Amino acid sequence: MAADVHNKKVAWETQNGSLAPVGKLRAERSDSPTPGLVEGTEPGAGQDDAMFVHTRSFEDLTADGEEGEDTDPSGPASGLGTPLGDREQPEAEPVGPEEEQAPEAPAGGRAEEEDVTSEAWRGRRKHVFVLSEAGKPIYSRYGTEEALSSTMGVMMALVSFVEAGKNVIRSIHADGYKVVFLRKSPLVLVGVAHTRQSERELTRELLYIYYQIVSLLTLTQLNHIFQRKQNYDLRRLLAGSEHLTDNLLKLLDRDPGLLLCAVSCLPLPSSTRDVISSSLQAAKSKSLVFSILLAGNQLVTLVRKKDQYLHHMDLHLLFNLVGSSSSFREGEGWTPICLPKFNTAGFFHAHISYLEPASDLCLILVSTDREDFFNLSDCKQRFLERLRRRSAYPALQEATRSPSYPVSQVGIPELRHFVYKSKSSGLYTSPELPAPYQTEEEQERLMGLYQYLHSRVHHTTRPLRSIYHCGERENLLAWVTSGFELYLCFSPLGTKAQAVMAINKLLKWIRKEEDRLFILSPQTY
Amino acid sequence: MICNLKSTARFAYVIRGGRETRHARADYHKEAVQRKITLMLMISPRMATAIQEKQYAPTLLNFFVYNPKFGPREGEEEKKILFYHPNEVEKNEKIRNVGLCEAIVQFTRTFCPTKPAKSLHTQKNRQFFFEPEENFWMVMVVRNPMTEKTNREGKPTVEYHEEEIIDTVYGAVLQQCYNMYKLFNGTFSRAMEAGGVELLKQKLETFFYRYLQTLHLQSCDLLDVFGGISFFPLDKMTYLKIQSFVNQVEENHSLIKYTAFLYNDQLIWSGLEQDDMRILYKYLTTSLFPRHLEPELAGRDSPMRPEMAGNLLHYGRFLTGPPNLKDPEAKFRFPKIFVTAEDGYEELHLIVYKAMSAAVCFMISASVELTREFCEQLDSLVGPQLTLLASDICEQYNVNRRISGPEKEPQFKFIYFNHMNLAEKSTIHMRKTASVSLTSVHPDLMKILGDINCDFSRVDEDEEIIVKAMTDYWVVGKKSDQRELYVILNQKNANLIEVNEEVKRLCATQFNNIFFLD
Amino acid sequence: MSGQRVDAKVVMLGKECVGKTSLVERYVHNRFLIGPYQNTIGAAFVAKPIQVEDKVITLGIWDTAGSERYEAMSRMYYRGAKAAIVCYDLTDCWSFARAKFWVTELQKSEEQCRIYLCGTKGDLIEGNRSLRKVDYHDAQDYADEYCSHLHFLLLSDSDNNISENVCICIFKKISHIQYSILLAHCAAKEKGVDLAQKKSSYFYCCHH
Repeated sequence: MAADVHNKKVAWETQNGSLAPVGKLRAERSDSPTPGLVEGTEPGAGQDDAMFVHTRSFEDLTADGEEGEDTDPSGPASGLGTPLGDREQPEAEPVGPEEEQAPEAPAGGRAEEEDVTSEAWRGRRKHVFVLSEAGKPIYSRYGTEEALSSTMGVMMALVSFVEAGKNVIRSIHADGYKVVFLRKSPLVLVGVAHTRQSERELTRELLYIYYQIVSLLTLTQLNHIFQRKQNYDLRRLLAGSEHLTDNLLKLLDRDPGLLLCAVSCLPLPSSTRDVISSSLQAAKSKSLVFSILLAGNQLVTLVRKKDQYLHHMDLHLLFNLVGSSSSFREGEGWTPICLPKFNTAGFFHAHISYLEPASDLCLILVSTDREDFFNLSDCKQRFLERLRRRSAYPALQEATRSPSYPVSQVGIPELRHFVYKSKSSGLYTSPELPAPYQTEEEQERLMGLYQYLHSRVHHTTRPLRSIYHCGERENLLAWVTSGFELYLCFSPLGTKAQAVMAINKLLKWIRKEEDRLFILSPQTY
Repeated sequence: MICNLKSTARFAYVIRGGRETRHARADYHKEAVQRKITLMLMISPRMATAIQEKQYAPTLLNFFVYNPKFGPREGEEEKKILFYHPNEVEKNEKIRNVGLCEAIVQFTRTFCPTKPAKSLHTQKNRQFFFEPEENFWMVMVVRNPMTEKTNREGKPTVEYHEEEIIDTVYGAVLQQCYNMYKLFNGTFSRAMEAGGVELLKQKLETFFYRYLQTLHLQSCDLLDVFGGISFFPLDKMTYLKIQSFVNQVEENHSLIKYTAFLYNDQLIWSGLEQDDMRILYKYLTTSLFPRHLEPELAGRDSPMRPEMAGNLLHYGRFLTGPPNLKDPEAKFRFPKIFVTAEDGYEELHLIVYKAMSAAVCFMISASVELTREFCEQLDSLVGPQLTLLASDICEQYNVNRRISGPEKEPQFKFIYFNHMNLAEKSTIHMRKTASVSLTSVHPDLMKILGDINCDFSRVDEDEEIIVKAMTDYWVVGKKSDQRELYVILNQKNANLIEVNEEVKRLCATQFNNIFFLD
Repeated sequence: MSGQRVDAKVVMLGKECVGKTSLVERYVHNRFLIGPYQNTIGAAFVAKPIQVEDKVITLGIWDTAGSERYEAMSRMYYRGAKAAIVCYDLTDCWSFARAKFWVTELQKSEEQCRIYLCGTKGDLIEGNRSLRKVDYHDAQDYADEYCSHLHFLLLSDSDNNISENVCICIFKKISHIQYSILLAHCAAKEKGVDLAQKKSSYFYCCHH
């Protein structure tokens, strides 16, 4: 099974020269940061090799590699990972004769539903709808799918109508809100946002939701289901996954990592991190592809099979899976999961468990073999034993107690907050949110400002090198070079001269702290 | 009419000088067009590798006006359509396209009943929706700019550039279409009251058939969003002279309700409401004046030059109404315009009279019939005075220019707009003509200005945005108390602090420190 | 998938949201789940060592997700299981149909597996009989029909005492312990319906 990892379908990600991680030369790492930093020598760049599929700063939506895969007639068995179950084809409708009497899929365990004609519903900051090409509701962030079935019918009608003219609907713009459409056959996703985000940002969020659904079912199965029965009610298969989608949407509103296509690391002395990485590296198994240790929503370390790279989007889906479910606290979780950026056709099998019942440290072991549970369970035990033997566990536990740092550590009084991403490693660092950004609303507002800067600097046809925004509540600065992306938030009283000085000081600070804030020596088995 | 020899001589001098500069401007104009073309060639690196690549600018696909209440029953959909361009489109397709717009508008009401859709983005085009009067919808469909390539197999492929068009710019163009219609026809409801659907259809057809041909979508930019008025800078003395001239004419001809005075396509004085003046100004500067520019540019003996026999004392002439007063066949009909009045609107005759670079608009109630006598009186009163004023202004202007020092290409270009008085000023636009608005900067930089303007319009607070484009140009946008200023700096090695200093200097010299934001 | 660390494999089956995880949580960790319902993702494995007379044996409990999307995977969880607890929700008739589906599946492929059919959320119908959607007799008739390996239980989801006892009852039964005392305890609450006297000695019901 492990051999299958080297699947033809992953080739597109590694073949492309620009996507391959860049080899680093330690000698090139400069002590003081300069704007002309070569990619791979910026603060936070890994020393040997990156952990992730190297991503552009902005995911190119049109470059999805799976378009050709959709039509792959050989079915799920040809992909990496295993098909579901022992059957030849994953069965979508296993209930057999009773299927016809099957009631409407359950609404799941979500809190009270709201009136879809109410002012409150309309005023929601961001709606997300998922529907099938037959116009059947699959997911709605607010309000029940039943109540919205006619609205979703209209959405599908609009999509088909425009398609009938050999055209593709993208978005509708009105004063104060936009409606964005994403057609990813066999699904249609629609977002309605009152935010300042660009159409492109919103489309990318919908793409995340699409991948979230694919990660539960695989695209192959999804296509299979709708080929067999066009008006299938997909909610039956997705029952219980609504809160995963809900949570992912919340992450998209708040976590800069999803915006930047990057992951943040638990600040940790590099010696401790190295011990943890090598312990995890030693606890290997034939079928293991990735071993990932998380602390809350931060990465502690990631070990991967040689030549296999995890896409940040897939890692975010794993973060979301773990972060939105208490299920893995019950025991050792064992679940099939499709990593859509790796391969949309097959399932991996993930062993997911917390190191200790009340701990935030969660270990994810991703395997290609669905029968391998007990092997992986052993891997975890071996990892834990090794950690204890080398007394790294207390240091790790200590680190989880302070997963972030105040911005004051940098020593720039006007600086309120920042996000720094090292492009070559795909890792970012950001201090904890200070006042006045601690309330949920303010946090989302700050994220909204970063999203705004991000969409401006990464505009498809008019990208920028930098943007400085001076407003009444804060001053913002974004700067993108070939090596890094930097977003800063200053007090509204700060001057431009201070901002320019702050950048230099901050980059020096990050260089000084990079051992602690980034994973500089990623491991492979 | 008092006029001594000396001043006549001065006229001749000024006229010759003026003409020369106009000639020079025309040459510059041509040169700029050529330069722009070469620039476009240079900026498309792909051109070198793939010769069969062809670029297409945004173009108007459809333009229609409909009222959903006019054909509510199935099978009657065609009745909703009041105007459709191009008319050759098959009936069912018209109905389908109108149906889509209705559906989009209806759909967005689910999310906000009071703020329905304003635009629809698709891969191939953008549609702009505007409801200027209740239930009357105007829709403009613009095809995205695109590149046609021939791939290796020799098959042509088309790539649409979906993020090139800026909504606010074309949304403003659509509103302008309505305002221009309204200026010459009054509201849609007025036509409905006067002659029902048939009259409205006829008016729409007549107006838009011509008007749509003058839309040059590829050269629309931020200035269309502002729809501002360029004011002519003038010293107090000359301004007072103009004012007393206007007062004198209005006193002599009490029929005149409103007057507007322009010089060199820039406004000096207007008695109209701001919004009416804004659209009238647009009409004068982009349509009427450019049409009469060519004869003036032509030599004195050119056959294009209108007959001026007898008019030895002045250079005044009517731009609207009869081209030659002496013609016994001349008809004294002037275009009618509609402006806002206390009880809705009022209909007026629009008389535009020009002498050299100075133009005056006289507006007279449409209920009055204008006669040959009236026109002759107006001509003899206004012609000599306006000629004199024009040369005064020209002289004054040249003096001011000399004082401000030798003209050297500045390191920056800017656009300024004041929302309160609609004043706009641009050193980016060389000249706005009927066909194209020529800018001296790269179109992508113009679009960055548009982006910054969109950012400003989201929040109603003072803001400043400074960006550095990939070409290393710096673009600065400032919004302060209803005023907006956009500066493009060609100082590639400057840093943020230096750029800030430069803009501060500009604000101090040009705008008297209106902008305070650090 | 049978682990080396496990003496007896037990699998929880049933539609989502019927309370499988609650049962396991209560039995293994002796805790109640609070907060909004969270569905199981894939399956969760818990090893529970228990004292049986003089030796410790380990139960390997597989708490499977009820969602249909994992259904194709379930075979690997119940393969080789010594016992299966098939749960349904008394207030949800569709869940009973799903339970019957599992019983059929198990009987087809796992002849050695003992099946415990278990009705949950008895406490909900206690307060309001009209909520009951699965008739007691229907369940009983069904159990009768498939008597040979079927055990029939009704559980309350929140009643600490009874449920806990029931859990223990089930899991102890699985590990072949004497359960007569517990049975007596449960039977006492049956208000006259002594299912233990049915012809099948495997057929148990704890309801109240």
